[in-house]
Amino acid sequence: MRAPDSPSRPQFYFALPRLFAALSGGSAARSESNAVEAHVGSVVVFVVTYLFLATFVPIHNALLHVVALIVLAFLTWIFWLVLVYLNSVILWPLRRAGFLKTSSSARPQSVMVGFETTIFALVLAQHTDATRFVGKLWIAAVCVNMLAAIALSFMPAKGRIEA
Amino acid sequence: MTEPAPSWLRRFAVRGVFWRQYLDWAIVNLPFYMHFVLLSFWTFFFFFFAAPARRAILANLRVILPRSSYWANQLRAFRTLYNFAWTITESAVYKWTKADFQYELVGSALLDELAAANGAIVLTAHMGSYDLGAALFAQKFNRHIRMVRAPEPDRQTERHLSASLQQAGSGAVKVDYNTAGALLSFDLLNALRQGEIVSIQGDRVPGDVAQVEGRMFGHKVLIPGGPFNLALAAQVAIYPLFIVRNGYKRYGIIVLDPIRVVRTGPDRSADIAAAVAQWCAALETVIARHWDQWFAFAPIFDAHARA
Repeated sequence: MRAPDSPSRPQFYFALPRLFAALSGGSAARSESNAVEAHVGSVVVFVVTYLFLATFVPIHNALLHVVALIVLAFLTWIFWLVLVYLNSVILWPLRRAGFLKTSSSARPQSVMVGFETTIFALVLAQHTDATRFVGKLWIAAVCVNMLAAIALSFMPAKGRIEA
Repeated sequence: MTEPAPSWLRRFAVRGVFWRQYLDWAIVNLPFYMHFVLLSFWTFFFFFFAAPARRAILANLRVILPRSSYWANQLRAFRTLYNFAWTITESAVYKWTKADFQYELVGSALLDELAAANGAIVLTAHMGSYDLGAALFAQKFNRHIRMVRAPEPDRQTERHLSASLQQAGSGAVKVDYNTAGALLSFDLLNALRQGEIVSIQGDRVPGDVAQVEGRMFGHKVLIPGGPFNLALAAQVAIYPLFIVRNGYKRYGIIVLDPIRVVRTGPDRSADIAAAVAQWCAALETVIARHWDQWFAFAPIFDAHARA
């Protein structure tokens, strides 16, 4: 728990903002306390998945299509609940075998969520309509973030703390 | 008369243990940036399926915000449930990860006074993250807290919540359940006389416990009488304390002026009534400002009419 008068420079989870923070004299330590990341990250993952699933909704009638797209928002939620559960089933033997050292599975899940969302984005990027820009934007963000992670790994430990 | 649902089915009731266990699982298994969208959808789910809670929020809102329309109140009820979802999620995050939370203090001198008190009652409400607040207070000031909660309708949920609180407070928070029995009162009185801090929720009367009449928002309400009787018997001050959520992993701790229950004459009930009036005024002030974080989930103002 941090009191209001304690140092409150923003800290980040994703590698790119952490790199910027380190370059501007701040801390590159990984943190899960950033509200912008918590909200924007959530929305972007959801939008990419929603658009990916929307490609499977057949268009017969405009009204039905609108109803289907509204229902799809809830189906996307359920889709993620199931997918995250399946990810945990995949991670379970890795944990049993001692490959995962932390008590939380959130970090390996984060890698899997990123990987799965990138697959959806790759499919979207093949499209000819406007959704391809969303797919390409995600892929670009992932690439830049990975480059930032590599850059962070070469930085001195003081600024980096944890790549 | 309808048969009670079998125990395996009760786990899945709105207040069943399944949802608490699922939340714990999600905190351990989900990246933090998935929480926002998933919680928003869960709020939709419970907005429809937790109909009694939604109706109770609406009944309370009609009194707190009498000029608000029916549809505006529906949105406000959604907002209250959404805040509740975030609050219990962040309590679980703290329990499992001991994550860094930021807090702002209103009445820091009073909080220091409370921390140094030789026996005190913290009177709080079903508001914000009172569980998280108690755990953090116990850790920050290195003091043990006896927390009195309303019993849960489901035994497994009750056990789960007690274990969660003790885990979050690293053993410094002991949970007791507020029932009609007199044993707890003696136990708490003893704890107060030994200099401990006892935290009680004073906005809702659970079951058949002793109750006193107060007044909030121009309406009569019934609130637990125990804290005031205890304060009078143990001669300790009552500190109104509220924990409100100010944003993502940001909380506000509001401590208001202590209420002292002093015997002024032969009429004991008049002294209690004066303290109750002070508490109701404090509660009304905080609820008026933070109505979207009042998680009483019971029609507080209607309860008086029914009684």
